[in-house]
Amino acid sequence: MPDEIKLTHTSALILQTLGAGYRYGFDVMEATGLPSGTVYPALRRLEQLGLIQSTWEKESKALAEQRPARKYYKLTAPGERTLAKAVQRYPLLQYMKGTS
Amino acid sequence: MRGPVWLVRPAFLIRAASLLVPARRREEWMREWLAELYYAEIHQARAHAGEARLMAFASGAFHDAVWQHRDFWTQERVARLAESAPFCLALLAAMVGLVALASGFLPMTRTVLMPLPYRDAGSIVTVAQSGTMAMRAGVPGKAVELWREKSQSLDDIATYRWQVAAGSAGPPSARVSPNFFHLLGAKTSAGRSFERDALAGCAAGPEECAIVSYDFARSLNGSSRVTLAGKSYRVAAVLERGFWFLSPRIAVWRIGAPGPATRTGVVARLRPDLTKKEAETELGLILRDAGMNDWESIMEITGVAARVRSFLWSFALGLGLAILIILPSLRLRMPSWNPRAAAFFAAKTGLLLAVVLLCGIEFTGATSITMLGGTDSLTEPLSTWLFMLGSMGVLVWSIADQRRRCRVCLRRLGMAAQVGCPGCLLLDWAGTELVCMEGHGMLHVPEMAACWQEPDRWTSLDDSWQELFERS
Repeated sequence: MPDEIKLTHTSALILQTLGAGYRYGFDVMEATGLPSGTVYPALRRLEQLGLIQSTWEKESKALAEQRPARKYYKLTAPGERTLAKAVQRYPLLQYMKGTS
Repeated sequence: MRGPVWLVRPAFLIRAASLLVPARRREEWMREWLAELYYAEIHQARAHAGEARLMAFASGAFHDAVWQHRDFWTQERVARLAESAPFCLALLAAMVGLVALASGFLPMTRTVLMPLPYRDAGSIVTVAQSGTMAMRAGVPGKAVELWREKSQSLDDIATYRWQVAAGSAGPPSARVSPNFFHLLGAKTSAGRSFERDALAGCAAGPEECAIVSYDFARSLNGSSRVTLAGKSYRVAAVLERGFWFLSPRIAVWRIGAPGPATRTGVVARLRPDLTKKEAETELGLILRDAGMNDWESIMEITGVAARVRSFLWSFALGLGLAILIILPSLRLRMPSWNPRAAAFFAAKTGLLLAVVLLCGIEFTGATSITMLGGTDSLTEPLSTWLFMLGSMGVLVWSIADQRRRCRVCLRRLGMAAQVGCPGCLLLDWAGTELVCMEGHGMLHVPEMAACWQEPDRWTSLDDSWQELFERS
């Protein structure tokens, strides 16, 4: 059950970053300062737990701007609830730069 | 989409990491990482950061790729892998590796199969009375003296005898004649050759001396004396590294000629212009002229290389006997052959036999017993019998395993189901049915063998059955 999930500090940090509007892997890296080898596996795990959802950008839009389409992540409803609990557990998360 | 030139190496890293990702996820995984690399490059260019930052970013792909396997190796997948033929071969190859590792990288096998460490090893022969038991008992010392005096076919002749003192915990040793090392062309650890009569005084002098192997000398920690069965010997020389005769385990060589009645092993250097047959005839004639009976005068000369490797024939004999015993008992009930199945059966059986053979060579005294001179009458038959039993076990398992594999994909069959009423055999069929998990077919194994039915019956399943066997 997603409501009962206890996240690690790193996962909670990534969830908080996504909740603050950062939408893709490299964005999260820049906001949190975490390395790519930590952020991407964490995104996979959060998605597997149903806390976030990924969607691919429309290919036609990316092609029109001559860049590759990217994969966006956003919080799901269980993800928002879990984040709220995680913030209670890790109070400093709410003071994170750019997310408060 | 082609990126700038400094994206080539990070992109290569990502493509290399993608090989670790399960195939069904690989395409999407690589698409995301390459897109992210593109945006990372734009960001780095704005920040005037170098290629190293992009490389650090791309190297994280390996961690992510490995993570992809976290939920990939489910119990079902592991079970599926364990059923496959390549897994079986990999496991058996690992067993060969384990034996090699446990034995210290096959020292016995390497020693025996490498060129012998003797000068002109092709002309060195062993001389024994004909017949297996006589060969093991050796030749009387009196006969050796007669040959030394009268033989025209031998350049030189020396004696050796394996000695294990009862209850002694000392190193394995042998007693050899003073010219033994000269005959073989052995050298000392300092690189000097042994002169023919250099060790004569060692045998006849006031104190007995011994020659020690290179490895044993290192364990003496510089001491010039060695104790065997409570008796102290002066170390006269240290042999060159890698020298061995009879067995690589012999550490101490005592010098001394055998008495006239003592039976001993005989090694000789044959003159190059003579055949072994001619030499055998001449040695036999010398003994008959000296009054020995005909039976004792039949000699057998064998090249030392052939003698050293003769234990392999013991193993070949063991394997042959195992095949003879196993095949009739199985009533030749092998599944129908196809080239792939035959190759798998050969590889599987070969690897298992290699395990048994290497264990036989490395962990028994097999290599040290077929040399004549009464070395060890216990371990030779024991190792051969063990190898034969091992070979039988290998063949039984290998054939039984083959019969329980799919005739198409060679996977182990599963989902065993009891069918029919056990014991109700009159015009009925009772037995076990096994299914290939890929849906290639079904094997019917009867409860009891009956003359009117095939022992194992394979039924191929056509494509209409496939949807029943599809896995997630």
